[in-house]
Amino acid sequence: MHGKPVDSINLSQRLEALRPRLLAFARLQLRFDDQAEDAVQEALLAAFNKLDSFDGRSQFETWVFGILRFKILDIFRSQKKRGNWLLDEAAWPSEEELDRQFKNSGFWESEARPQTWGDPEAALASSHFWRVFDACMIHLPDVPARVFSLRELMEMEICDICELLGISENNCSVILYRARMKLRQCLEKGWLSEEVSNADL
Amino acid sequence: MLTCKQATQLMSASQDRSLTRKEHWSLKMHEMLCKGCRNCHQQLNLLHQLGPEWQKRLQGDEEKGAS
Repeated sequence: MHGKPVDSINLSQRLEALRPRLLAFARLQLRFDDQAEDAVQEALLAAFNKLDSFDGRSQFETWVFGILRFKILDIFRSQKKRGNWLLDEAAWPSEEELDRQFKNSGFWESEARPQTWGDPEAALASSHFWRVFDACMIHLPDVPARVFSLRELMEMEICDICELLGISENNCSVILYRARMKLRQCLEKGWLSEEVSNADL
Repeated sequence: MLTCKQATQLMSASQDRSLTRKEHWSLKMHEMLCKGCRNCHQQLNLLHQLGPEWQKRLQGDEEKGAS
């Protein structure tokens, strides 16, 4: 791939411009700022050193994110070796908290009953929706936030997540259930409040 | 008949594995009668579809990221 000279000044500017978004991504996965900074730094360095191997077939940004993703998965792997933080159930969202949405009979409490969110396409296209989503992700405890983002944001298969984190499929599905229900509840509060005020005009 | 709590557990499970026929139909039956759970299922489906748009926003959308 040495046919055309890589415009490395231009590309390094583009790399720097990507940094905030890479950092947002790494923070979500790693949950510690210094770890996230390190991972992004390493990924940028690796990207810069490998510029020659960027063949232009994928989008540049996608390629860089791919490198960061690889770094993050690597960090997970080394954390798994050091000790299994995931089995600490204290770091999961508590069952009682979710149970408060349901009556003893297992049916919705009336004030907790899920509302309609309207058109899903419109939600996905709305900057407000994503701001609420980001805020809700930050409030989610570490373990469910990581498992949820591996599953739903990085779109990994369950078996791969279990292997990566060293947890059973059953643990994985319990964590995901709680994460999804917590997020749903949080999004409903933040997202609908604005939707309703818009619809009432 | 499933409780709403059991129904939500099946909704979540259905995004990670295929439900058995019995699970599938008992969830369907429950949702026919329960608006809250129909809404909940739509919301969980939305969460399940976030990936591509989330990745696109992080990677590309310079103009939208400005605000």
